[in-house]
Amino acid sequence: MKIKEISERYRAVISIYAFLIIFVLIFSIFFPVFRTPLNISNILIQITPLALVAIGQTIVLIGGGIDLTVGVVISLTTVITANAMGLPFVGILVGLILVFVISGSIGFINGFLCNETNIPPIIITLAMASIIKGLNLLYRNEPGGQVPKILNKIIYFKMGIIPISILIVLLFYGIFAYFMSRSKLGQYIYAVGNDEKYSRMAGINIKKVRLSTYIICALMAGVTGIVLSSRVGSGSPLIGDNYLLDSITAVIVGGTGFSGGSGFILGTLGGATLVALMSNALNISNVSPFYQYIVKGSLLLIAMILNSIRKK
Amino acid sequence: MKKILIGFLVIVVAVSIVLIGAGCNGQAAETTTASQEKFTIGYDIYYEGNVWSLQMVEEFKYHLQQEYSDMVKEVFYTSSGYDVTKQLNNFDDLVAKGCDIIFIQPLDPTALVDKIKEATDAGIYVIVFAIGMEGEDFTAYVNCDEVQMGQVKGEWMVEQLNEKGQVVPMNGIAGTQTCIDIANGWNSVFEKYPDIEVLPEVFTDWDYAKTKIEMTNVLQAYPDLSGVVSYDDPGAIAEAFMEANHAWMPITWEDENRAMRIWKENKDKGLKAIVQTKPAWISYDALKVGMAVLKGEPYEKMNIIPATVITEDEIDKYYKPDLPDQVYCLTTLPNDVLEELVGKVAQ
Repeated sequence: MKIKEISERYRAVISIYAFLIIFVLIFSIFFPVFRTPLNISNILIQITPLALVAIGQTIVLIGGGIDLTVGVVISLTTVITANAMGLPFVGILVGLILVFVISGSIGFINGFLCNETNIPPIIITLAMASIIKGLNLLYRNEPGGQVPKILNKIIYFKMGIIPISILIVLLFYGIFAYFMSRSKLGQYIYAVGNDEKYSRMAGINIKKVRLSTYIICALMAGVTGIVLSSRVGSGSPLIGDNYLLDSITAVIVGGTGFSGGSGFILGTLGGATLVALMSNALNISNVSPFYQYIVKGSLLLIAMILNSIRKK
Repeated sequence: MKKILIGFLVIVVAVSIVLIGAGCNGQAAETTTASQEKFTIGYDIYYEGNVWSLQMVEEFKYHLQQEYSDMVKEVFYTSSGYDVTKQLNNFDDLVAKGCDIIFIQPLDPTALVDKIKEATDAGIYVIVFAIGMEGEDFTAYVNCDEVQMGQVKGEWMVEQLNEKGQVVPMNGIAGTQTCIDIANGWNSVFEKYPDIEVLPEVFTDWDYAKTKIEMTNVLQAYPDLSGVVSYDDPGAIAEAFMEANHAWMPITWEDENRAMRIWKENKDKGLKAIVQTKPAWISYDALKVGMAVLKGEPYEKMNIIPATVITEDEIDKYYKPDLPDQVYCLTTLPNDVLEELVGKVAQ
């Protein structure tokens, strides 16, 4: 592939990383605290949960859907982790199995309902999110439980200023970037998101593909919940709420379209990094907290407009 | 069309930049020149969703500027928006900024325990206030006993109802520690009285509109309702009664000016109420403790301040007829500051 073709094809991804570099340079020059080892380490930790959950959301959006349950699945996972992992000896293993079985099942139900009904995914997952939130609060109506400290020590162990958590993020991005670009299922997801009718005519099992996107998304929300609960040390029925909007922002900012069929996993990493960086940088530069919401909303709006211009 | 979109984009970017600039300038006003006796102060604002929280933040800012500006090198405010993860991130950011002291209201009783220990081990003072947490690795703690607050509300209600009747608990945000503690308090009282029927707890997110709707629904759904225990927007509860033209009943509520006005106007028409609340000036109490720490003065580590009670006889003492409805009456702020604050909220 020629450089021109590459730059044309990956324009959205290149743009986001170029913007990131400029952003980091500006803040590093004007706010020396921003480039201190302690703050860099903080940023790498702060990126982790959002970057992980955004992988799943990217895949669902590329496949033409949307998943509004990611926030509540994260919360549910932290609650399960905090309760089950407290068991002696087998706790961590039992907790991990439970997390993946339950989050995978939620993804399956989301995908199944999207396949078998004519209801738009946004409505199905909105309803599911409400149900799961209610179950969360019934199961544990307050923050609590205990996540083994060993998990925190492993996931957030720092090699110099680099926490292991960011290596986990990079590993997942490597796997899913390869999966989406090289595997048959990855290509089918793009095809289904782009045009269902032609995908069906081409012999793609659309239901299977759609189901897989929701299961992957829920499993990634589960992974995020484990990483998050190990940081917090307990489970909370509300902790994941804000990751819904943030994950969608990260994906859209990363260049994935809202209408399916386009987008790149690595773009999402840039989007998630920018969203997390923005919050840190605004804190560091002492911008009033109220303006942070405006900046985040503007970021999403700009990304949507750029996406729409690109499509035209 | 493309040109219009690009034009719109430019405007959005420009507005964002101006707003960020405005934000920076706004903070700079609270910054003073550094000296050896000056300190960098951090405050993570846990929630800005209602006037009470905003008034609490204003109590802190106002007294910091009025009484301690000579000790301030720089002040950093972060906002968690009731998000535990954001609060952890904000705490890390305040540490990275080199704060000498951090004021915080922990949104999770355990999440910050290790971080606060790390910070205090590194020589940073941490003042925990207004919300409870586990452990004692903070420098000082300032709060009311929220379980006890709930108990007092419950006991007053039982007494008003002569130990018999149907009570609805109106609470804030489900799953949050402060609401759980309050509910544990009144439930521990109600469970001793078998003739008190407690209806399912109603959560209104401390939101005026939601409270009014939920209260209206409860009044319609339970014709035998005899009392309301609340840790909620009191004015909205009162207005729901008035709009439904419903007979008054015993209500426990907060010190919001609207509720005080309605109470004053209706106390002879059957409205029995009591205010029993955590005052918004709790942040000022926390500030005083924090500044004593920085000055090297003696201070108490555990500061349990009594919840303020206002009875029917004391309405005139606290009600502020010259101020807007939204103001909370237990305040140390001057009227002009309160008017400006509520004006901002109204806008």
